[in-house]
Amino acid sequence: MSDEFPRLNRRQILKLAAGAGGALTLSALLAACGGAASPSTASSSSAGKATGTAGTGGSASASASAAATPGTPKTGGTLRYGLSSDVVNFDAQIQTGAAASDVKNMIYDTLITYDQNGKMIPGLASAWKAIDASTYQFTLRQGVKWHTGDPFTADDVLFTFQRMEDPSVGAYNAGRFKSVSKIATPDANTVVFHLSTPNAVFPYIIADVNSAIINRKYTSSHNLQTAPMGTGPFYFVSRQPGVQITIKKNPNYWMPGIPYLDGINFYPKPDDTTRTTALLSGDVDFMDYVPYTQMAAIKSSSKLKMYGDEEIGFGWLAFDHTHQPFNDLRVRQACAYALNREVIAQTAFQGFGAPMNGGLIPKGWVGYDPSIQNTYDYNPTKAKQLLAAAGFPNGFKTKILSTSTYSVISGPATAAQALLKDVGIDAQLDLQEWQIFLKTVAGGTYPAHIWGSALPYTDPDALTNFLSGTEGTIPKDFHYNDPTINKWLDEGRQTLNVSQRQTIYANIDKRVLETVPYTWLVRREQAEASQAFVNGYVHLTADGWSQLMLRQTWLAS
Amino acid sequence: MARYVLRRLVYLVVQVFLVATVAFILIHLVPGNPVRAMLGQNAPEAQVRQVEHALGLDRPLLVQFAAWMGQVVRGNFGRSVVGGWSVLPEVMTRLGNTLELIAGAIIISVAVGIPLGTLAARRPNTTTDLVLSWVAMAGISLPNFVIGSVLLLLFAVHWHVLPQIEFVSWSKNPIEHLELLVLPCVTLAAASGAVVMRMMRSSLLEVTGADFMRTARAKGLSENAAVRRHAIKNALNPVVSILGLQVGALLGGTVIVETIYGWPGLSTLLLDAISNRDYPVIQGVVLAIAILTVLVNLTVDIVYAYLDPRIRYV
Repeated sequence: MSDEFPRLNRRQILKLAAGAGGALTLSALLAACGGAASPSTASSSSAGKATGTAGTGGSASASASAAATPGTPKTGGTLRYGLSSDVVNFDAQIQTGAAASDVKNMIYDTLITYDQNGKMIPGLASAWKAIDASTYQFTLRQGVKWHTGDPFTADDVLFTFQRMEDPSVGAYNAGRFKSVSKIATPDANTVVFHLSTPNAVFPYIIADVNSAIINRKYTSSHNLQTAPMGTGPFYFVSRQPGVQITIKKNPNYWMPGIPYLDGINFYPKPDDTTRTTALLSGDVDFMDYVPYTQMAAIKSSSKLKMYGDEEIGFGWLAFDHTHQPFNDLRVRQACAYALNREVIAQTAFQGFGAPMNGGLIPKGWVGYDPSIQNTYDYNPTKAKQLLAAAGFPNGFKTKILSTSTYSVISGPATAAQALLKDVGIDAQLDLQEWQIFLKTVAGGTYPAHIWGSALPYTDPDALTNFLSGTEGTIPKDFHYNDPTINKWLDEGRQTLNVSQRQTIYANIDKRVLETVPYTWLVRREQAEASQAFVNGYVHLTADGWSQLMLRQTWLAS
Repeated sequence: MARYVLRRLVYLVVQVFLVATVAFILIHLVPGNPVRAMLGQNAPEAQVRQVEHALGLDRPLLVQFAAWMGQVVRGNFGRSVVGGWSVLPEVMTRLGNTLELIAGAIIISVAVGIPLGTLAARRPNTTTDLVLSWVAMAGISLPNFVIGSVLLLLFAVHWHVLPQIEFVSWSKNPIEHLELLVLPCVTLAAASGAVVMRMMRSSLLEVTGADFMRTARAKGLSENAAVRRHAIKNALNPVVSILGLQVGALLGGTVIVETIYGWPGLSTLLLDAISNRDYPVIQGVVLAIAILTVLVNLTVDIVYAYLDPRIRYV
């Protein structure tokens, strides 16, 4: 449930060359010469992360996984992993991006984890149950040992969640656990969470890597940020900044036979081209964030495999309806009809993306409604008619805010600008550096913005951040607050009844299409790639972190 | 001379202080903060404030600056806000790696630029001169991310020599370490080597027309001997000053080169730190760059005096 914004933070490398240029100019001034601020190359970092229902492997359970990949798993070998970003902080509770979470997932364990179908399975908790939607009971697994050899206890669980409350830790999930009113440990093997408000998606928060369990004794005497220690399938060996992160097999891991690999060496290669080059030349066995320009080549190569989904990473155009002329529903609808999402997918993602002419909830999820999926099929005639009806027969001029830092956002934004122009809407596109963009967008001064993100977990409750006027962070950016939606989101979260939830979330998805606070753009593909001899890896669409599956990955040669 | 060097060293302190101040102000003027980078865009405002308070980032800028300066004077560069590690050792390691790149690039620039520049000057307006000036033009015009990517594709992927997989430190395996250095240094040296070559050519052409060269020829020296014994040393002065200035340009070039080749240097550290608004790291790196630049300039001035005895510093 780690959402993608922080990972975005880490994924930029070259985009800030301007800033570096500034620093260099200073040194140049000293040298009384025109120091060279070098041009920056464009690195098209992909953002966001895959989650969803089923992996690309498309198989079920451990045995079926073996069937999906030929042969039985072989033990041994070290995986060389081209990582999209260096890891600067290994503290389980601090979120510093995708790369960090991928590595942390191998070192730490959560109470609940995911199998290769994206289904929640017991992790450090051997069982859990919802006594009701506001009381969750976890039975702890027996005989688990920390990497130091100490036994895992209920006290460590208690410590983990207490530590989150300390503001100096800067725990990423602190806000999500605010609704926990009490954590009880009735006996040594049981932990009970009491929530002040019912929450059907509490297990997703528990399964998040930022909720991984840490050791009380170790944490008091060591710095987790630089020397992480957990119960996970691999233990931390070393990090050479900017060079290599080494983890080795935990021989006492509680999952029998797991992991297959003797170890993983992560090589941070933030530049997309460099990372892909390393895979193509065989210098690494595995890479994350395959750039769109390379997907076709990797997919067609017999020496390589690609694992991806077009489910949870998505983009949007949001309208501030306190601004003219977007206060008029017809204008917003006109924009929705004017956007040829096939073209956006083609230009921004080389075709590796699915147009979103309908709702936000992906196929296969609770709340998915097939009948609304063609609501805004491309229709420029209708767009022009709506604009004329709203009093803009010749279109109008406006401004759209977006960010230049991530090509997965700026690509669709540029394409959308051109498509809007075709129906007469002349939008000036302001592309800002990421952190500046965040600040500007929070100021709510622009009539519209184009952005992208990912659904943080596979329950439609994940829509809350995007739709709730009270709880979501993004609606505040454009003064959107729909009490009906807020109420429905609350109802959906507070019930465990699946058919009720189906109706509630389908209604929400539909109402958004009717009122058009947003119009959705494209679900972009998110992919990893490996050499053909790498087996057992499955791209999870079910949780933020596919790399969990590295624990069952093995090498055929 | 000693007094001169001493005075320059005092200037260094002033210059570095000014750079540190400007860098501190600039990075705090840019929107964004490390806590947001840490907690994510969705973190509630209250939590951000709490963490900022815990880290002392909510204090007035002047107080933060004074606190930081106080630390630096005592040799403590603080800790990374985002990563928790200590800044100074990290900066020193990275600085070493970046210096290697720059030193390698300068060695290549000199080793290639001076002989070729001399050759071009000895045969002005011939085919050799023309070809060399085209080569120089290409070196100056091609952006180093193009050169870098092409070299990487050719050598690492296509021919599979000089693989660039993992960084190997000098202490671990000097040979492999040097192999790794070749491509980045060549990429980095392309532009500066070309500049040195052109400067050497024009400077030598000027010198060969000078009066003392006519005298040298008149007393019976062969053209080769006259150039070798009298012209080259006299022509080197502008080349040395250009080289000094190139260090600044090379530092800029490392931003691209380190990223393309995955070289763990100062520039990649700085870029990461800027995108996270990791203030102590940014300030530490800028300070290191400033000190480096000032020292290089001082060195250049001292080398002048050696090359041209007419220059005297008081």
